[in-house]
Amino acid sequence: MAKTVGPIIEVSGLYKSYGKVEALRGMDLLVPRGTVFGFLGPNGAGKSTTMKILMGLIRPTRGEAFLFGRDALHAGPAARSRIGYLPQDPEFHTDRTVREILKFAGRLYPGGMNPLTLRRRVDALIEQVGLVGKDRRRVRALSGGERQRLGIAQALIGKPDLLILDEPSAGLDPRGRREVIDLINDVRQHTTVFYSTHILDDVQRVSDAVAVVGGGRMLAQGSIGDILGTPIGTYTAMLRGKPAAALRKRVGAEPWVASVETVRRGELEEWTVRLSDDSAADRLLPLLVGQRGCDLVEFHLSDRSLEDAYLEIVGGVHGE
Amino acid sequence: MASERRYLAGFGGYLWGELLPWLGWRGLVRLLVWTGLVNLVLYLDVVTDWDIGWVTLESLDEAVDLVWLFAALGAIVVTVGPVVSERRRGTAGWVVSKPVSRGSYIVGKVVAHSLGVAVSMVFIPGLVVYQWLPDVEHVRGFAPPTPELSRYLIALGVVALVTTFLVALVVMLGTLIKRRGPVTGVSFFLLIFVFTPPAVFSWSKYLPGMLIDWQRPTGLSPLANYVFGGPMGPSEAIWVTVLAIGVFTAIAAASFQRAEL
Repeated sequence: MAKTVGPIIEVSGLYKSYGKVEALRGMDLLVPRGTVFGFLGPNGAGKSTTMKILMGLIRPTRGEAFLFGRDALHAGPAARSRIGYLPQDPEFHTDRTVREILKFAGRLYPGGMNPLTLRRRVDALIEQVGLVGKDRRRVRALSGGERQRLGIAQALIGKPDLLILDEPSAGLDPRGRREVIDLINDVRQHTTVFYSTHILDDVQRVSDAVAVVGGGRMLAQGSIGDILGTPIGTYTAMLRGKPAAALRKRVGAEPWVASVETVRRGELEEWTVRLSDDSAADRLLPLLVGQRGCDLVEFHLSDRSLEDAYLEIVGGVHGE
Repeated sequence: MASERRYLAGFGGYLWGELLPWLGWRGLVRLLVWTGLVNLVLYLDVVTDWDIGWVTLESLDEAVDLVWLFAALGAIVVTVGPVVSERRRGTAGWVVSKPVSRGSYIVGKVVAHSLGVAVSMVFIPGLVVYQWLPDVEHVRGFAPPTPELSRYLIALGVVALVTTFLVALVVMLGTLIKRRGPVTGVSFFLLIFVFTPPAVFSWSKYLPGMLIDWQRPTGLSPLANYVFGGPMGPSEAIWVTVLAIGVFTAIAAASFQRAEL
């Protein structure tokens, strides 16, 4: 029985071995419908393997995977007609042109699209991915970035409910990366986007939720806020002037202060104070206010980037 | 891989996509080159009496054999590339990530290449030969009977059947071996083996070679004999050829079904 609500992708206890190499070691994953979902992890973490299993291209050693509530391993063409997939390093027929590849891909969907509809759809996609003027060029003559754009276009040709993109920004210049983000934003109203990438700034900019994987298994999953986690009690203070050395010594000597780091930035000095007791922030502030020789001009909880959180999470499995 | 709910899902769209390269201008160039090559060799043979060893007769029956030989070589060469390279480079994986079953992929490959070879390497070159050769023979003082067009077309159909056998063989080998060199080598070896003169093996009447037999030392081949009003080669060979096409395609599909792409 197919589930009509719930996650669009559900993976549970997925294992995949290539001889003695274990690519997946009990991967779990839940991708909610209607989200832009970033799939993060170092090289060899199992991201592409998971995506290939979902697409039915490889078979898991054991475990379960569901797409649209149906068993992904037996979903077949009906499920794939609702999915657009961009493989890592996409390879198309090199002797065909961009336009021919997109028409070829369009004809593979149920109904095959009538020629006029297909032509309009191809024209629109060529414009959307920035391949105008290159649509008569053979695939073998495309640059890596152009090939990636073609890959994104072919993934979108069937107006999918679910986009699975394996490193869509790979090989693209900064402008191309921005266009991928814009494109994901364009389709997110009607399409769930599940994509892997190493560009964490992009993930933070566009994703609703992320999963961090490593060593073939899930390490963390949730909204960006969940992954960034509860503030860990690091505060930044900007002091104008020259604070006395005694002030730093005094702050550092407090039992609720774990560390103090200072960096000179022109006429300002930036203090990064990490507290061992997060509730002690109200005791830190009075120490910095009204000091002789310096004025406190800024005081705030330090931002934590997704990159910080990511490195913290994958650090535990690095080198496995 | 995953069992498909519809074994031939997406077949029509995929087949059309595979046929397009045969229909576009690249297909036209291939057709012209092939037709020109076959006809040029035959013309040189007939007009200059140039004997290249295994072509000894200068008439339409010989033309059928020549068309067959070129088409057999062409069928192997044009099928090996797409089948092996698409698998190795990942294009096959991309195609079956679309709503196309793996069965459709294999059957589509066999059908598209068989049709492409049949039209551009068998029927059109053969019909061009049929147009000019009798006139040239008469000019040279020979007066071979002009065969009925219907018999000639059926003979070309048999050639197309046997080239389909070769296409299916290459597709099967391509899914099993996955390397261009060995697939090509094994295909050429089997081409020689399957079309060995019937006298070598008592059971060779079941081989497709009995329908064509281009290696015969003297006399008319079974197919040429048919063109001039004789009986067709052994029906066993026809049925075995048809059966082999089905078996090769089924083995290829079963192998591809389990393949990790």
